[in-house]
Amino acid sequence: MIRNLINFILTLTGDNDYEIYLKNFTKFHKHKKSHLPLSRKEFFKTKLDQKWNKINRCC
Amino acid sequence: MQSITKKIIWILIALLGAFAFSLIALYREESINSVWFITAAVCIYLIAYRFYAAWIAAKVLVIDENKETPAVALNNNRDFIPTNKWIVFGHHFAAIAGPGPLIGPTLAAQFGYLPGTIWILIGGVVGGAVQDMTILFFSVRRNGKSLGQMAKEELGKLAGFASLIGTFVIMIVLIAVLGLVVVNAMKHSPWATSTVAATIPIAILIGFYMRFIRPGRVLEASLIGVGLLLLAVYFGGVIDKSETMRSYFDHGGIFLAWSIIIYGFAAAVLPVWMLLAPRDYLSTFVKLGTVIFLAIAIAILQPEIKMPAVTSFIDGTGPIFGGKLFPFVFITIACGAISGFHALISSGTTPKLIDNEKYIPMIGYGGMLLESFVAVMAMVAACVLEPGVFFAINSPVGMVGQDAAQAIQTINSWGYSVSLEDMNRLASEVGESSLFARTGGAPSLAVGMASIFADAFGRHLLAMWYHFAIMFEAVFILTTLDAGTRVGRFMLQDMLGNVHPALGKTSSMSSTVITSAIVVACWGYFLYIGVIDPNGGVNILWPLFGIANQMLAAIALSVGTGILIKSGKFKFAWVTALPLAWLVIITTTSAYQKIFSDDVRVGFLAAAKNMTEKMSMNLLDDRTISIYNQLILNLKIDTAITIFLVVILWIVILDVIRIAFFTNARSLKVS
Repeated sequence: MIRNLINFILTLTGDNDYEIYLKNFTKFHKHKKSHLPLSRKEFFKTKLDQKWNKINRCC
Repeated sequence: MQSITKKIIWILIALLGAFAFSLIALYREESINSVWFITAAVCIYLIAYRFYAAWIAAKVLVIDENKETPAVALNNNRDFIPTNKWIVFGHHFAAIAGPGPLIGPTLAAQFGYLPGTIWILIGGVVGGAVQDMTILFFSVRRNGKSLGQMAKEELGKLAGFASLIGTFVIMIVLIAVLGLVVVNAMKHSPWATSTVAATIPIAILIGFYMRFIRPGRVLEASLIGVGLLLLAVYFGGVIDKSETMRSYFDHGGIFLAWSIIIYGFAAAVLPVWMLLAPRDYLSTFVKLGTVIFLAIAIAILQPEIKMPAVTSFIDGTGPIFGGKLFPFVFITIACGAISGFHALISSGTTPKLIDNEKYIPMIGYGGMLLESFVAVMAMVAACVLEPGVFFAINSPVGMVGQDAAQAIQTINSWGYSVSLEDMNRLASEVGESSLFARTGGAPSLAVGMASIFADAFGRHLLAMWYHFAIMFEAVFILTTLDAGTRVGRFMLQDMLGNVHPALGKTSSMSSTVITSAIVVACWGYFLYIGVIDPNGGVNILWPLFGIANQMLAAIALSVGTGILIKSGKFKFAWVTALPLAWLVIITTTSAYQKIFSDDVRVGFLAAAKNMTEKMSMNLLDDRTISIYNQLILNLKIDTAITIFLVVILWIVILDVIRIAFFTNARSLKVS
């Protein structure tokens, strides 16, 4: 219960984004061995650039 | 049995809501308890969500929970990611709720608490929430297409262009007016200035932490950041007490305006991880915390509303902004009732995350209800102040004069009692040298919030609460300023790319610098004019922002209405057409009045003429003449922008009418 709550908060804040990405990555690129996932650091940089290149905050 | 219990509960909610609402509307004693505002709001939201939103979802939009959403169908682990509904709700709400719902109601409180509150509640459930939900649904059904793309495809090229230009204009005017709000809060206030300044290195520090030390650890980094922000508020007070330190942070409006302009440029060209992203995390945390805190404090303390239900200023003579109740209350409160800006979020990130259509009412409609509730709380915080104090803080020097004693006299002559001693004591209690003419809404909201917090948690901390509230407002205003400049830059690069491909490259440094400078120059100009304007700038800029935002909402509702008609749901089209008709009426009326009214505080042309006449009498000194010349030019620019917005709006409206006519004629022929 408490574990779930913490996990939920961490997903809400975005702390879990990389883990979610990795989990899905293996699902997406099962057959392509050459394809490697981004490193944690690279992932968050790309994520932020992507988040802020469009309208993301209102008035 | 169970269904009967449910029915009884809903009937009780309806009765309680109706009772609370009629109490607010009809009660005319000295003061009214704020609990009734919260009760009326919550009951109305519950009823609207349970019945109206559910009906729209089932009958009008016909939501299909077995249909794959784009997040599921196009899942690419990048931007299309199926996400838990509460997470999507959190992201959606964080995106739509900015400083708008706090500032608009505070300014509109000059008409009394009633007009603004009614508009926030009714406009929210019938207008804003419907807009957000329908646009979200249509975008989900179109693989997450943006409002601009939908306008182009469903209504025509011109409508697409209109939404693009509308967005750009809103962005510019919004940033200018928000910048002005921050400048007015920091003007000759070393405490506020030093605290706001400290938020910049704190954000950068957190940015480095999240990029290099512990990548992606948002929660812990944000908590450290919030702790540092609180320390900054505290040390602001220490700086305020030291004579030498004070002098470094004691500045006038023009210096602060230039600082914001330079800062805005720097922030927009720096990489996002360094300043924008970390400050956004901080602002989201602080915003959420403060709003929850405020709700709890209001619930515990149940403060009395001291503002009358309706003031004499509904006749158009209001000191904060000129113009009659109709249409200006509907223009002043955009966010919180209906905000076109939301349509950009509802057709942006959110539709790419929803993993089932059945969550659309909760996220689209529910998200807007929560924002509307924030606006109600802002209204409460503004109206718990003594009206005399409220007007003393919010009236510009152009209305009440430079001199404090004269200002008091003017405000007393309006029938609101306040004394110089009251104002001086309050100023020293919140740690300011003066609270007179701190226009823009932020300071009076901060005083309101601080007094609620202080009453709930200790009066001796009033100054801390006040500067915490100022910091809180400044942090997310600066985020909006930075994010807005950046988006404006991308839009400009996109447009210029058609003319000269090299300028369209978002990765090119020179293109980035040039386009950022253009965007900053655009809002910087309006900000500068707002600072030198003796009427406070808010009087011109806020209505302009409101008109632009409501015009964008009208375009969004036009898209919604157009799609409903085209998909054979003409008999349900009133769901979006009704708020659309209302928006067209208020934007057109207010635009007409802003241009042609004879009242110099409303009409742009009348104000320009008045200044020209004053100058022709040769009684003014050189400095005033130079200010007047700049203001006259600005009034002409404002007139041009307003005409442009209204013309665009009407072209889109005629497009919708054309579609309605042809679709109907065709269906008649078929039958």
